[in-house]
Amino acid sequence: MSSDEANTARIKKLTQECVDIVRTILVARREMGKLHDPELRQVHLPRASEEIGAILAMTESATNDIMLAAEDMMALDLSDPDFAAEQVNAGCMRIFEACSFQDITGQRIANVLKTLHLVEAKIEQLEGAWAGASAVAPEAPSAPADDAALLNGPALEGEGIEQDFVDQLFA
Amino acid sequence: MAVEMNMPILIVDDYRTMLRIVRNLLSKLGFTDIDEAADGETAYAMLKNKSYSLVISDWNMQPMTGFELLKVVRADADLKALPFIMVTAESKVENVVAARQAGVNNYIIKPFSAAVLKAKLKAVLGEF
Repeated sequence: MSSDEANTARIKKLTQECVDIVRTILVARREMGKLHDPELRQVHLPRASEEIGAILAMTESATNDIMLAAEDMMALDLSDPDFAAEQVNAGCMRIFEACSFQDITGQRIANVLKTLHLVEAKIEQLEGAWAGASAVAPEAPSAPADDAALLNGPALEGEGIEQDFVDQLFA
Repeated sequence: MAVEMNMPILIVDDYRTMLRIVRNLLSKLGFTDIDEAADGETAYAMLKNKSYSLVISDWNMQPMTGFELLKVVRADADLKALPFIMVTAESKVENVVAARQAGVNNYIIKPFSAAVLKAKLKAVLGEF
């Protein structure tokens, strides 16, 4: 093979490799486009962020309530034992009430985890698309049926109803 | 009718902390016979084995939710009149309406105070 022929063959090979790379990029881009999910960005991620904000606020508030109750008990005048016992009892009740934050924050964290799983699934799909595998368009989350539709977890501020409203319904 | 403070009460919640809180609040109010279950299925089995006077249940649990437990209880000839209070973080109107339609006696939104729990117990059981 002459030197010209060798060069031509090398150029053809390089050209083919470039074509293959461009084709791969185009295919990956097309497949990634199928994964575009506005709901994740517009609904789930902002909601997760708000849930984390609510967790921080509630944890701080509960800690404050518990410490206040403890401080009040520490400051009690023990010269009147009956009154002191009553105040300790009331303080314990306040602490029990404040501890219920753990249940609410637990449910909020579960909601955040659901969003993280959505993100994880999306990243896996992107990896698949880049690897050349045909990306599967994300399935729209199916609407939960009947009773499951009523499982939303704790509401964010301004979303749910107050106990007073519930009481009116049961009056 | 006077409320017997030794009446058997079943509290149902999948959070151990919440069970402990409700148990302690009930104890402070004077109730002495309190049992616990971590989900609706276990609770229903316990209800079939012991005669309870009140159920205080969370909503969001697996495998059987508190709402499903409520419906099973109301469909059970032996249990249909059992007082049932829902204590839940589910605070949408549709939740309250669904629970009301299913026959719940009262509904408490978490987080709640001891005063709210006491008021709902009085509303369901009478003065104590």
